[in-house]
Amino acid sequence: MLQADAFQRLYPDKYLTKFIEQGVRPDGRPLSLARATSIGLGVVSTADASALVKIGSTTVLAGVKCEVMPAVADAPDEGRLTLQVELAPLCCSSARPGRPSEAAALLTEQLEGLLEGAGVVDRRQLCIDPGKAAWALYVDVYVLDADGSLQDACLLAVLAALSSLQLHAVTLDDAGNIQKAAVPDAGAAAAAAAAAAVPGSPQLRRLSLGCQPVSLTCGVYLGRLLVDPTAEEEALLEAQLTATVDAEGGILGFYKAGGSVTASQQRVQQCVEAAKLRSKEVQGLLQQALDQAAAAAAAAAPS
Amino acid sequence: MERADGRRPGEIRIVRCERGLLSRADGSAQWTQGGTSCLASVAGPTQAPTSAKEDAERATLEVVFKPRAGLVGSTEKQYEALIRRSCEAVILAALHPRTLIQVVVQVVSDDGGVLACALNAACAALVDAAVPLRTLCAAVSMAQEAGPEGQLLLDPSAAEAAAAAAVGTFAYLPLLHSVSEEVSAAGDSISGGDLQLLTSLTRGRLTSDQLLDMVEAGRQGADRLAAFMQQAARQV
Amino acid sequence: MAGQREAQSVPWFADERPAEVIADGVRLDGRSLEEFRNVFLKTGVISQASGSAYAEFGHTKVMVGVYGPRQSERRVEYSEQGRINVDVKLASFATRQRGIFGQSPEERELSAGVQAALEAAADLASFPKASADVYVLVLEAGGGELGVAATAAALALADAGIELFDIVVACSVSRVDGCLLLDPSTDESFREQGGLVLALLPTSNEVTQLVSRGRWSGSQLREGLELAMGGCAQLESAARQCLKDAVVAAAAKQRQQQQQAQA
Repeated sequence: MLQADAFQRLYPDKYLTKFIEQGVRPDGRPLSLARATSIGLGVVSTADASALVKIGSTTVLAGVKCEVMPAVADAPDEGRLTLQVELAPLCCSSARPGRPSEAAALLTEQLEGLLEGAGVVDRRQLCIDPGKAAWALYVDVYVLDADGSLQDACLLAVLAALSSLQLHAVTLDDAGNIQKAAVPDAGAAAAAAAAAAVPGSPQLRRLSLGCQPVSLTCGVYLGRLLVDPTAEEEALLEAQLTATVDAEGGILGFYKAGGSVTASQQRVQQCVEAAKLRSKEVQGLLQQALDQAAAAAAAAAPS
Repeated sequence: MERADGRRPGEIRIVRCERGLLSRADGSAQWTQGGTSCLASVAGPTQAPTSAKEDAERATLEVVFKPRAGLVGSTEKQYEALIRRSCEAVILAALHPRTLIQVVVQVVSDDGGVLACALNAACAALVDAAVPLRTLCAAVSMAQEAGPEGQLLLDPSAAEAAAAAAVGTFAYLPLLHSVSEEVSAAGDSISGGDLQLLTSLTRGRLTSDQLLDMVEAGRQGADRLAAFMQQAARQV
Repeated sequence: MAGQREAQSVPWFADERPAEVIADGVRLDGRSLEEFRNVFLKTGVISQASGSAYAEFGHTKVMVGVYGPRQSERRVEYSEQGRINVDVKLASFATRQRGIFGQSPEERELSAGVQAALEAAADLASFPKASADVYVLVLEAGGGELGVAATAAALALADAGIELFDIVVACSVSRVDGCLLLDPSTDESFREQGGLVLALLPTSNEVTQLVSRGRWSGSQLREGLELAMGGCAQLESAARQCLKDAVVAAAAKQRQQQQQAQA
């Protein structure tokens, strides 16, 4: 008799079929269940904000670095947000060091399109001094373990990092150099410094995000919808659909790139409904992570 | 209500398709929708130049998307991937193993809906190159105007797309059956009520109903385009 | 990473490096001179890799994935020996100053250093013609990256089942104002007069890689090496424990699956 893992290697398609026909996935999930998801905030202390997201084995680390740039002539009151996804060579066997791969470029374009199209970050919030200086945010996303549904994990990592980002209050001095915003009087300076780590203090400003996009990838296999497919499943799927929704249930993106089967109206609707459910769950997780980070920051600040 | 150029909301701009414009390519087609025009050329199936581009079981498809001006950025990479994956669903690639089919799409002019236009051009050029296809694929772009009174616009111009709350590009195929059925049905019209969504890319915010309406209205538009494309394919 | 570079970094972001890193024999982070930062080692962290490891030494966080042995990417002439191919990359946000696009000189140096530390430990003849690709990503650089990366990479190689003569453990020592500091942080190495990194095969006590920077007298260097070797001995037990834990966990998981299958 053939061992299960040998059978899987020799006949991956038949292996998956045997599971799906029974209404379960190789990892034991029902067809409509996403994998366990966790969000860790502030994991990299050298970044201005960072988030580590795990969806099952898929692991993504997003970090934000803030720099100050001179204002651009055609948009004097706007800053800049640059996003880049990198498939680190350690994330899967096909990734190689060197130039960014096509898959990474596609993910970058997808995420940029979503942030832009949904107006997640209003660039005017990044203004420091109109016509003089603005913030340039660099959001770099590293995929550490590519086990399927990468867009969902990357978007969540970006959203979590941007949600936890706090911009420092700064001013421009006469020479055009950036200074920390002046504290009203010397006596309050120590108190303000202590409060600096506490969110909501005047020294730090959170970005207010236009909306909170969450995406969910669904696969089609044997006419059934597989929510949040793993890499092993993705390789065999007939088609993939990715729906991105915001907290109010608005649809910010519906993506399907070819595939060997088409999608009916019912299929589109099914995928959108699944994404809405998933969005509620993920928003809860994100809020929980933000609350935890805030509590930790408050505890760390000397009272 | 009329649109700026006098069209009704569900009306496509004037469509033209010219085939065989390039003498040195194996197939070519220029697809024009109003002010947007793309020229596609097909080379192949030829021997794959490197082993990396060679698949022992099927032909490999390579798509190059050239913008009208400027450098190739990540948007163009996304378009290339979408055109490639959409065409892969149409080509009977298993008939030409170990070969390469190269599609180059050059944007001639862009007045909105360039991805849909490029997809249609690529499909028409594949027909012209006599690459065996299982069916034809038709693509449309859509725009949802902002506000509660906003209308759904088929084949928006660049100005309409820029002002819209959300835009989408959709490609449709007739519902696929097994290969044997297709062979017996060859020559039948691909239009009819059974077009389904093959490729989708949207931007901006929509409600669920708006998305479904968009996909449905796009399907009706694609139905008409598919009939036109088929007519163009029959002309020698 | 891509992106324009005309943006200016904020000077006060990088708060001044502390001038004094030792006070009364205690270091800034409260450690004694010959004490490691908090060390955490774990293998099997990347589902797609043949072997993988994560190492955290205080703020230094490193992830390693090993793929192979597999066919060499580059066409190289036939060799009886396998190759170990190392690529170390720093995440763009791993350092105070945002990283640049393409391979930096620092990354090239780290890659070569880790490769040298590992090559002598692996049984290269066991995978002729093939290469084992070791990809290291430094998530945060908090000091002593070379040592941490080499230790983690060796664990990942072991996790991938690549035959090693022994595991490799590596640690750094900095000499600041006449004191020898084990496992220095970035702030401490910034003020060092001399520094060294030692990679060791602990069982045979053989050195596979030794890097020294700055000025050392003969006796200072001897003392430094002794401290580093003592540090490596501590790391050895942590590394072995980490590998043992992974085996125990895998066995427990297998038993559980068998029980489920029977039930």
